[in-house]
Amino acid sequence: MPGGDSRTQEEILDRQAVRDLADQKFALDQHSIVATTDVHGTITYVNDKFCEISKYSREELVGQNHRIVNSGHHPTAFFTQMYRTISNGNVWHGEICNRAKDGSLYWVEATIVPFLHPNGKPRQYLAIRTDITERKRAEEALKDSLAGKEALLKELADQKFALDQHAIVATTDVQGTITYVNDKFCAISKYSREELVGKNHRILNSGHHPKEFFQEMYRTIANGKVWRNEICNRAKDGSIYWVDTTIVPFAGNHGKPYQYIAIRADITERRAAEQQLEKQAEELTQQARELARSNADLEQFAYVASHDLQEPLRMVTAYTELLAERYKGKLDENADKFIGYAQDGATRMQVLIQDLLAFSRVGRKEDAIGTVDCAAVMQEVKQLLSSAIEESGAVVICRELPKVDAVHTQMVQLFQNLIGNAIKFRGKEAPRILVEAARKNGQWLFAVKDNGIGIAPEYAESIFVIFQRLHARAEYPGNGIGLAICKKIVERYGGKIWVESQPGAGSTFLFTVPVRASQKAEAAHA
Amino acid sequence: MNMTFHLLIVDDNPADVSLVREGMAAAAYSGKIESVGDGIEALAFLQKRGDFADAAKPDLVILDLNLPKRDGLAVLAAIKAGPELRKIPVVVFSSSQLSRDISRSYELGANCYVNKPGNLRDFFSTMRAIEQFWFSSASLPPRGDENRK
Repeated sequence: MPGGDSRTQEEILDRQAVRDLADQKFALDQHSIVATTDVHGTITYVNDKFCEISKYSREELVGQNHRIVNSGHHPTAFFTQMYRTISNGNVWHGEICNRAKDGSLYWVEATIVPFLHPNGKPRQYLAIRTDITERKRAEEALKDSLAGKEALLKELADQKFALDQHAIVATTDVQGTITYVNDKFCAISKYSREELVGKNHRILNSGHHPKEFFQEMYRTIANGKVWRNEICNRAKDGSIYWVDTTIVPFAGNHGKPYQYIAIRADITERRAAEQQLEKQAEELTQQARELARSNADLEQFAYVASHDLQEPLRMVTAYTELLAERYKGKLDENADKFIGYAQDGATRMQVLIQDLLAFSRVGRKEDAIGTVDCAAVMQEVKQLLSSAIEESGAVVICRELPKVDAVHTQMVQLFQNLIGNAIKFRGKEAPRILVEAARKNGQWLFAVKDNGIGIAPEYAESIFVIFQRLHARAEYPGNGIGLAICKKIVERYGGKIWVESQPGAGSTFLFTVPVRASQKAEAAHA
Repeated sequence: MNMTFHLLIVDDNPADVSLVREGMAAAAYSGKIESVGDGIEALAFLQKRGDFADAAKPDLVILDLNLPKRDGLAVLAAIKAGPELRKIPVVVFSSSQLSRDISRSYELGANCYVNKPGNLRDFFSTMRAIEQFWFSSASLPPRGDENRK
């Protein structure tokens, strides 16, 4: 170095100190954001890093108040405290959020050092800052996530509380050993928590379910699937309770369940109600079966009785007639009268038995059900009743009638009885009878309407009971079998029959017959 | 020609047998009437076995279906199975109106099926009709032998 000897030792030392300072400043400028301000906060110096982070040029900064980078993030008190510290000659440390020229925020960790006049008053401030934006962001994120987790935990705790209030909860390990039970579990099982935890869940097995039931359950949950069913358990005191159970397997790292959580609801009362209902239904079915059997027995009896009664009755009838024929007027007056009564009774009994036989024949499986054209049936009925129609001057009007699935002879009998009644129970005018049918609620609704004497509403039901008559025999002959047979025929096909009538205002007999299967299909396509 | 007809009634009810007799009398039937009360007797009579060795072969059988021991349909089947007996006309006379009984009777070769009427007038007119048809209108199978004069 030339002229080195002319330098004083002091000079050399000063140069050395300046070089060291310069080196340190360089290192500082590489690392930190450095600025100086005067006591009013006016920026007097900024280094490159200050410009870089604040996105202002040096020219834009120097001479400006430091407030230029104020982000508004901190309250006024924050800066008041800071100025108080430094203006009193103390070093201030803190984290500051600043705003760059483009509006973006950045965080710096700042150390502000006041440089003092000899009188102790600050002359300028040197601020050394480090960019901590990334750290702040990470901290914020962590804080957010912690807050989120806290909320989640709280929610979980709330839910668990609610669940514990509501449900019977237990966890078991994969061997079925109970690891946790809640209060409700203890309450329903009547075991204490200490008696349950560590025991196998089999402690509650009631023996109600077959082995396969639990095998299926374990197979399901061991495969990681949720299992749900109703289980019958036995409490400590031997009482039985039913729980609607959902078992959820929790899978570990390898996908194999490491524990099961079972949530149960007490359905003991519901089961009891269901069992009661089942029992009642069973009893009803049993009763219905018995009723059907006794009904069938009764019909068989009626059939056999009426059939077998015919034979001896035929003898009574024939021989009283023979007596009358051969001995009339040959005995005394009383004898003639007695024979007359015997004959009359025998004849009536014969009609009764024939009616009973006809009634009990309805529903016997002697005739096959087939397609019956009701229009053709009505033609046949008019033919059968031709003399009655002619004598009474009846007009029978028949609208369009459908085809139904029935036994032909029974449909003839049904219409014959109804039309026959309409003629028989006519008023002063000649009978006018209208027969029509309409589809209603998947059934054919037939109506046989007349202008006859009508029926008082109080008899609307009893007229369908066998041997029920509303009129004296002399007035209107008959045994009261016709409508009973009609009812039996209609009900045999699953229909209903009833009458709508007022005395003197005619009657309308209505009955339903199910629509044929093929017609139902047509309707579905229509 | 003055032939004596032979009528066999197969019926277990004496009252019915009596009514047939009355009916036939009322129809001015003048032939012989004999009766048996069950199916076994009926076949013995026709096959001239045992007590009936001397029985005359009937010209017409009136056969009830509801018979003790062997029922009417079995008797009918036996009659129509034999080469000689099958020639004898059989009127099934039953109170049954079951189509099953009617069909089965004709299947087995019944010559006609008549329902027993419930009252006397109809009963007598039926007897008159049987008498009229079988003993007046119809020609019966010739009887090679015996007692017809």
